[in-house]
Amino acid sequence: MKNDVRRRRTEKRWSQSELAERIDVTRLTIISIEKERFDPSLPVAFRLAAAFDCTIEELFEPDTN
Amino acid sequence: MTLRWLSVGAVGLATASATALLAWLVSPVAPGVAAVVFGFTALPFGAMLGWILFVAPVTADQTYTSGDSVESHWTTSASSGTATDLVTVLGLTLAVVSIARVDPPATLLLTGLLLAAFASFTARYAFARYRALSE
Repeated sequence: MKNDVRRRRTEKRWSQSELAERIDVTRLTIISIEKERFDPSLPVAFRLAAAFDCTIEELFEPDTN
Repeated sequence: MTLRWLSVGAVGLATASATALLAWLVSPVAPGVAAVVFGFTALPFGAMLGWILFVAPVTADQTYTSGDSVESHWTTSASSGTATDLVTVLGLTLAVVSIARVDPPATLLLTGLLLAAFASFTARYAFARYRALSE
């Protein structure tokens, strides 16, 4: 699944650790999500969307292939 | 918190005592020595069990055990793969033992199985971690 996490995080000038702390996951989880190697669970997706003040649909985009 | 640490000690002592009693009952030679050795050996593991039961729930970072983290995903994936690997190893070992008509000791087979499980889990977890974090 494609996502916009890295761009939004850098826009807010948060480090990966800071974002991880804000949404209560590990830094490795943030790294994996940003690299699009890990699709987060729905609760994490909601917490991410809340942290960036956007909707899940704005943050994540399903793979078309 | 003091009560929790006291509970850790109690669980440790209970585990050590139970192990010592079992060793004393079943050891064919020098049951007293066996009871002392097994009791002292079991004590740290009992204390660890007590720590997991009473202290960790209020002190350890719960993030690493929640299903939300990528580590949890890697663990689940590695465990699942290890189960498959173990069935394969068991099948192949059974085939080899049957064809060769050898009768290896159960201790050797069980130790081998345990080591295979550790190796499989470690390799699978490390590979999943590497694949997820590499560029």
